[in-house]
Amino acid sequence: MGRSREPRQEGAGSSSSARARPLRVSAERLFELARHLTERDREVALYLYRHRVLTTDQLQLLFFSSRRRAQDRLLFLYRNRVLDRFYPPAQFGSGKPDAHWLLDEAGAILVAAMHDLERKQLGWQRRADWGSHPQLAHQLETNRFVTDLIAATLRDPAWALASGGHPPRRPTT
Amino acid sequence: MLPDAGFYLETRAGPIECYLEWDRATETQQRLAEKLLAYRLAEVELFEEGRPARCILFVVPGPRRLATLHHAYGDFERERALRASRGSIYSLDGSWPLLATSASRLRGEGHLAAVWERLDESSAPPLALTDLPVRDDLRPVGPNRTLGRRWRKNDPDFWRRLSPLGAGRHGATEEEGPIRPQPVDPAAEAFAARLRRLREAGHAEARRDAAALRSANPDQDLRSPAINGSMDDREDDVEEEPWR
Repeated sequence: MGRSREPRQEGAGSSSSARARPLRVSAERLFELARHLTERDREVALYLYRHRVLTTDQLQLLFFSSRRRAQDRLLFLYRNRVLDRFYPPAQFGSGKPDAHWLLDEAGAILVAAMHDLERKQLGWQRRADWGSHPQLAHQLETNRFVTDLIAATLRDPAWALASGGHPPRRPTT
Repeated sequence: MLPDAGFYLETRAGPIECYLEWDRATETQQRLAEKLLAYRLAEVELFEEGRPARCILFVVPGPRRLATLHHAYGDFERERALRASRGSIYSLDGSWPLLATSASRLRGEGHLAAVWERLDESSAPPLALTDLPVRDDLRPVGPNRTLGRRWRKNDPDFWRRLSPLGAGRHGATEEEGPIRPQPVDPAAEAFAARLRRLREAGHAEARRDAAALRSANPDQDLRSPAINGSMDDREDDVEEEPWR
């Protein structure tokens, strides 16, 4: 009875950070967590809800001033089940691949609340198989295009990129 | 049909609205033609005429796939001409720029270079994203609303936006005055209150449903079928033979 049936993004022998994650997201824990989240944390969750999977590098470019700060905060969000992560397989000798970040259960509840919806109305389902999902490469390449474009605009103050949606909502003149 | 991504490129002249189709050469030429048709239908049917243009960007893996996309545009053009000759109410005449480039060219020349070919004007020189039509009906956004610049420490508003608790970090010294109790982040408190309200609304709805069920059938057992809330697995009830 003690073992959870819930699939894990990280395999057996996972690190202490994975073991520290709660198996369930209780309401009390979520209320306490919501008081410790910043506007940036909520934007990270919302961005991952819209764009599904981003690497540490991409999230750093979008939301953080340094890689160390990005890693610390993403780990905090991971431990509290706002985010989930997986590491895609890499060739031997090429080092540990960049973590790929996803929305997790607590993050989905937060995103639903940001839209004034209940969790079940959000239409989001946690997937344990993103690492082998057939749409993963397509999603990663699409997101890579957008983040590369952002990186290009950062070099010139005349250009910038703003979020769009389907369709993008924005006030008119 | 949903585009793979949508974004605004903010320029000094105004925002350029773009939709991205990222192609991995896994679809047929016919499917590409259907996508072009869907975008033209969206332009004609979903948006009012005369509204500023949205730019549709196709990125394909390489030159051969780019040629396939041009052939698909030829198929689409034939369909458009056929509908126009029949006087179809679902006209495919439109003006949103349909542009394409290859991922290999993007890697070599950069995202802001003149690498985008117009599908509808094959003789036109390649365009840069900044050459595309701007939307003059939209308000410009400040740099602290744009991606990649919003959460930089050099933004003077960074600490206040991150959290009111960090607002005093810049230039604050011990001599400025007595230490005051830290204020509670009102945004986080409001967000937690909204979460509670949503949860209480969910509970109230569940109680109403349970009361309605009880009044309809007082003897019904509403308890969960299993301790952990999962569905009962009937196979577990079958006793196995002792192992020999």
